[in-house]
Amino acid sequence: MGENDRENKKRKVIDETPTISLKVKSQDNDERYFRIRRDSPLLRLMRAYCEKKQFEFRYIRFFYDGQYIRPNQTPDSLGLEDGAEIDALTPQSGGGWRSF
Amino acid sequence: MKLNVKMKQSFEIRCSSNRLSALVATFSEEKRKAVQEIGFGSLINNNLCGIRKDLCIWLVQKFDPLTTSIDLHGKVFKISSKDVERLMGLIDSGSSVELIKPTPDMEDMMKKHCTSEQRISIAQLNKRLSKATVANDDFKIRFTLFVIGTILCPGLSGKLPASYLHLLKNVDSIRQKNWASWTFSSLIESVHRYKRYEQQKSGRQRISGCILLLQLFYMDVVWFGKPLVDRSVMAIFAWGEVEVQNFMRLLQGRGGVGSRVNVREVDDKVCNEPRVSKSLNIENVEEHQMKADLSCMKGDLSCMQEDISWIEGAIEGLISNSSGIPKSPHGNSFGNKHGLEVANGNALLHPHSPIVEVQNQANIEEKHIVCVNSNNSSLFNDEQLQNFDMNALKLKENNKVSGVCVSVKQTQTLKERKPCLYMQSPFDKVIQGWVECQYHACLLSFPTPSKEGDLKIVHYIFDCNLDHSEVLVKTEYAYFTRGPISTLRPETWLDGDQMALRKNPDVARFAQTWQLKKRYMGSLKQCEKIFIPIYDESGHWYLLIVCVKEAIAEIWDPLPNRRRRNYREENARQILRSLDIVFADEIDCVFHQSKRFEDFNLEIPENLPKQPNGYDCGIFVIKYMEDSCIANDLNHLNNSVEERLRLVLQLVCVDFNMEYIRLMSKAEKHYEAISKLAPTRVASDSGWPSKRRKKSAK
Repeated sequence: MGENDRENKKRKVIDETPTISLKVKSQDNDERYFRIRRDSPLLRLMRAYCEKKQFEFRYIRFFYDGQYIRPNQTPDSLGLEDGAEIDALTPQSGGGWRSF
Repeated sequence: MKLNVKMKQSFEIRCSSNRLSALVATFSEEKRKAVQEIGFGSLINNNLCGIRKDLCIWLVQKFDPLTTSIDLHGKVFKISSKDVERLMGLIDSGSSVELIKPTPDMEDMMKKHCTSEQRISIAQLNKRLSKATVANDDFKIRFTLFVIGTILCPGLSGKLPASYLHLLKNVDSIRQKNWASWTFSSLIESVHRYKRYEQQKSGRQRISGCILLLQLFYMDVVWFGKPLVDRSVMAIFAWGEVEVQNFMRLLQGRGGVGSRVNVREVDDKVCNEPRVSKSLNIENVEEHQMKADLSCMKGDLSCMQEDISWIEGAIEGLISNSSGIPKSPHGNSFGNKHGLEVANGNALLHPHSPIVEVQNQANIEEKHIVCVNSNNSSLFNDEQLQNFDMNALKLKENNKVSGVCVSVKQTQTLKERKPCLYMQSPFDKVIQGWVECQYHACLLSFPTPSKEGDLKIVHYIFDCNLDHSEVLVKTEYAYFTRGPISTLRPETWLDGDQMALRKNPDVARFAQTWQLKKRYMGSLKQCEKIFIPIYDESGHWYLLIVCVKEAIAEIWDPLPNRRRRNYREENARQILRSLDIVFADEIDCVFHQSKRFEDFNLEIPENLPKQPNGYDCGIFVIKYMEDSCIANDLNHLNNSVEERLRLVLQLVCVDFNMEYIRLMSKAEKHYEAISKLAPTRVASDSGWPSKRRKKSAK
């Protein structure tokens, strides 16, 4: 019983903290949905997204309304609303033609 | 020099901008218009900064009225009435201001405005101005008097002499008076008087005159390493109460008034060209522009005249040749007479004798040659030829120094050499994947000499061992972290974010959320060209230039390729289609006959300078955008490293970069660290971060 109580408590804590669902859209219009707590840094979302899409984290840049998102920002500090859309961009690196 | 409190208390500055700004704040739209009409538009400013007593006392002591110059921290600045125009927006031209005692025929005015003893009370003016309901001539006169009494040239007492009334007899002429020079001369006079008499007094010391000017001048000249106000705006608008508070706080941080701060040079150009204020005398500015345009046109005309006379000469030469040359094969007397007359201009020679004819022909030939020569010399004069040679020389040099100077690595002796990858002992722990190296020195060396401060910053920016997500450039709209900026390293492919303008089903939403128009474009009406860098998936940047007025879209490709040509054109077309959607609401009123971006002609100009290597296309695209004259410059030289350095510095070391000051200090420390750590081992890895794994060092 003791263990069950603890689990319930944990669940309660998780349930009580307000969460927010976000949509991450990549350049090829692939959409992923994430649920994240309002006060946790968006770094977690970014990492999860990169893992799902099998991108390397350091190359992907995230933007909200055209503004660059830093990993330590939280949904609260950015003022994100429920269902907000985040753009994930892969940087394009170009120098010449590849078979130059 | 520090001022004691007692001195501060006993000091009295008559110039009071607070009084004016408090009054102006209550003005209605009608009153404001009236003030603009009399030419004091720049003083309608609710947020006029107050006088800072301690600062001003110090400034007055530094100001030398005899030479009209001020000594600020070792630099001597000359102040003139031009500065009044530059800082306070009063035009420095017009008839000079002269005070004449009121004549008997002005008794009406005297009764209206003066109180007693033939003086004008400023307090009374203030009351009447705020109570006035209509902005009539009386209002204008009172306001002018009030401005004179509070800011421009306040007297020692709170009252003005009646002799000012004579000036203001004609309301329309207020505008034509040269208030700037009057303000300035009265300032000099008052400072002179202060130094002569008041300073020796033991009691209250009073100073009249426009001390606000000195304060504005000082705040305009001091440079704290970051911009406090927008310097493109006139100083009197830019420095509000809040900004001055910030300024004083920074000044306190450096040790208070009078302690040493950086003083920037006042640019002569800026001094001469009056800054355009928001509300002030638009007509006057237009007048200036018209004059400038006229003088430009005059110059153009004279150039054209020269051209025409040259062309005339050339045509004459051509006519003489064309009539002369066909004759040479015939060589007989038939019809020669007339032709030679034309050719030589006069028929002094006898055309009938064959010997003379031959001579004539020889003449013609000579003339022909001379003509050609003269043509040549006018096309390529000596200077250009020299330049050409110089260019060729430079080309040779350029080939030598392309890329980074990388010192040759010392090869290890056999004993020191590690076993190769496949011979490694199975007992050694082999770390798979990413190896976080502790340090490897990256003192880059640059072929072109540059300032040490710049070098430090460049080192700090390009060091791939540091956090790649550190924000280096921060502006209102954009962040740049180290990741993308360090792709400006020599011989590196350039990174960029592709905005999904093509292959995006919902361009309208994209444009709205990214505020494309607000951030990156203006209104289509005033637009001449739109520059859009496009990314080709094969790893190439090229540029699309949309000339709105000419209805042409040009593809500027630093490395054109026959196979990809169709693909790139198709991409450009897609973007044009997206532009139609982005500008959907403006397009109808700007283009006539329901023309759209999609209908634009796609052109690929020739004569573009091409990239000489496999990594510089991004740099070239930036160059195309900066300078479209590059198109026909076939002798264009590209020093890749220099260009990249310039770009980095341009990006980072700018006023609007909010991170700049922090960067400077960090770069300084970082540079010391590297130069201590690795004085000998100079290695440069050009690829970021691909080669990092191989070079893991101790």
